[in-house]
Amino acid sequence: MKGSTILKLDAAMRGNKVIYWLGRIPLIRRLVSDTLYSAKEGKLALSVLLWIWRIIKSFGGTILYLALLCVLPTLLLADPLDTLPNFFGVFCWLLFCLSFLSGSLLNPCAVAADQLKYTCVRMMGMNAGRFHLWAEVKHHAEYFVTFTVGLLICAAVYGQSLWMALLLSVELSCARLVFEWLHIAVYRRRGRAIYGQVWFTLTVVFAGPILAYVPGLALELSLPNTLILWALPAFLVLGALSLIALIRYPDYYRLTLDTCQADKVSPELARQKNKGAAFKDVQLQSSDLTAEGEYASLSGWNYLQALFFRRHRRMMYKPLRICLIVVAIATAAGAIALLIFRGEDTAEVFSAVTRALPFCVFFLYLIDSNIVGTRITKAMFYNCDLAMLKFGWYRQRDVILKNFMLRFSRMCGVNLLLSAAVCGMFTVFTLCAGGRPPLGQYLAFMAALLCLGVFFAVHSLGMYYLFQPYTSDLQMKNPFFGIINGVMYVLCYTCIQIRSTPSWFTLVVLIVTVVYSAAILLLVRKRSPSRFRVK
Amino acid sequence: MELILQDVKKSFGEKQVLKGAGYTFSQSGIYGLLGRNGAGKTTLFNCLSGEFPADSGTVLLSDGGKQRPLAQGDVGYVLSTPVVPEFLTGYEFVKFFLEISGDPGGTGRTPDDWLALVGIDKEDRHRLMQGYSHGMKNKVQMLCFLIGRPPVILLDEPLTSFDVVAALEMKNLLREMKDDHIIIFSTHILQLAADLCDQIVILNHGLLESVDPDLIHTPEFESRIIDILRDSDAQEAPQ
Repeated sequence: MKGSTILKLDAAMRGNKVIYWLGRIPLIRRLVSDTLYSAKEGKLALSVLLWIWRIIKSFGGTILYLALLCVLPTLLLADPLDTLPNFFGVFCWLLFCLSFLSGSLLNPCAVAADQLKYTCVRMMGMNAGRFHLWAEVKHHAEYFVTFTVGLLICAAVYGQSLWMALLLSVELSCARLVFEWLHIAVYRRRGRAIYGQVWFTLTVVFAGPILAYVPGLALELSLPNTLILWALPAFLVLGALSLIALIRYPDYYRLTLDTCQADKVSPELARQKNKGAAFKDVQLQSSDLTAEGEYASLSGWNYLQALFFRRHRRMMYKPLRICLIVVAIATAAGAIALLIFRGEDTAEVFSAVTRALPFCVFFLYLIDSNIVGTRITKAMFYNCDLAMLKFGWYRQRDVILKNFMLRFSRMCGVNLLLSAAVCGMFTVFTLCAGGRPPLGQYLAFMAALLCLGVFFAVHSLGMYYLFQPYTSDLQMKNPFFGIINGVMYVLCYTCIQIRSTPSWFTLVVLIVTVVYSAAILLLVRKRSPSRFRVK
Repeated sequence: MELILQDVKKSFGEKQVLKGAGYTFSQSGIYGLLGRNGAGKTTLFNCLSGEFPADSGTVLLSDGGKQRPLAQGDVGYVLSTPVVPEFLTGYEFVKFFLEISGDPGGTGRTPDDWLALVGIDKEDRHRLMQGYSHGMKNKVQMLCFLIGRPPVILLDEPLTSFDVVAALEMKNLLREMKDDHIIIFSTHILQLAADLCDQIVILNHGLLESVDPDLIHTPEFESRIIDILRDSDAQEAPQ
């Protein structure tokens, strides 16, 4: 395979990618049809445009990088501004740390995975050594050209000769070749590349700027021009030796196999590999699956749902138990405190209790969205509905509604248990404070707390049945699901921002919860049979 | 009983997969659905099973002279990649399915009987399906239509994951069932189609066409089918 063929392939792949993404943009996608992929002339024109764009981006990016990270910090030191040429040495120090060291370590070519390398070497069987040679020449030549232009501009800014800029650019290219070889040497020694490993990337990303800016800006550490000049032979020798080693390296194919895997070059494959990650928290463990219960009296759908909730009790009931223990401890501590410190004014305690309702709204929302609601609906999808919805009989209207109600009763049970615990806590507080609160107001407060339990169960399960957001690839596709849940979060969070709870707040909570729950239940009844599908 | 497809169309973006497919499938026969990769066999099955709707056209079930649209419960669909609820054991799933379907065949078989019928060993019946092999999951999936006896049974490459013994058992089961059902069986394996099917239907260019049933058991069957598929490719090639 010749270099020109690789270039054509590269251009075709880039062109296809642009057509693909254009086809996903609203309004434009109507103009983009699949036939565009076969339009050779059009794609050639597109690849030329892309090539021009890449050149502009490379030059622009390099100039911007040099301006922001190397020139701008020295501008801070130059006071008055006409002393800027005195800080060329500091600029060189920053450039040395950021580009010669960090940049060279973070931008190798040989050990990096890319789609073109994967396609040419692994799929089309091109000679790996020849491909790498071509790729490395192209990679380093591009860097040399763009940095030369950038450094020429910088040299002009500092009043330096153009030869100095050229000198720096040649030395930088040599440094990049040395680090290119170092990456391969480390790979040979360790059997795997350090490039791409998180610890390595983070170390270089943080160490480079620290090494550059702390001595550079605080101590004004600078590299004198004479050092740059006299270092040239060393850079040239090391660069040449590295280049020879790179050309002579015998096992580029093994290197490609070890560093350029399909999931590293294809976002789709990477997504496939990680597709279960979002559901990791609801994956069953062997201890869940051995949990046995008594189901002799149950049959059909009741039996199925009983088994489901039994085998997901670790996910649901264990965190709930922790919440109940926390509420119990809070109750005991509050009761003791009230008994010890209670005063004459018992009405004040009661008013504090009713003022806690906005916090209860947010607290119950958090519990539902993190433990009961979102988590269990995710488990329903991943461990049950993803498979069961493939069966026609599971998608029948009556079946969907029956399962909804069975699940709803279970989720309500969990939420109501928590609401009841909170009710109990406030009752204990009121009793410990002594005196009698206004009965009507007190009952409305308790009813609102219990309604909230039902409300969140309706919300979580209703949203799942109405918008079923997950696809068979375990992606979340329905934007409304996220938007509505976001709105719910904002509303519940807004509740705790209410500084002085009005007396009618309890009534509002009661009405909203009842009306919303009824509306969602009606919507589920009407819409879910057609919407509850695997996308 | 007949399954009547009239002018069924389905497109994905600009690609028209089904271009007005029409055919009448009758009871008492196993239909082999053949077509090249990407011909639209799975799309047709998905439209029939209600996985997603067709863009246009009608699908009717005719029984005793009365025609009605195909309903969801009328179709048993065995996917090439089996999906079963993995939080259940094989026994629990079959028990549950027997209870909700009410054993429409009136066989009186217990979950153990059904599991034994498809060759799932006693020790595997009470294991979670999470640990089942591809073939075992497929057997459980097939049990759904063996128990539920829907009028229309769609099988998408179902026997490829079975070992030879299980495949033979399944073939015998399908042969036993064919008198009471409309069975449509998609496969790439021509020998399997010739061995099991009474009728061959080819899906080509989004249209269904039948192959002379007399051809099925002749030595020319394989070459004739390949000729049909190649001819249609030649027709599609740009002039």
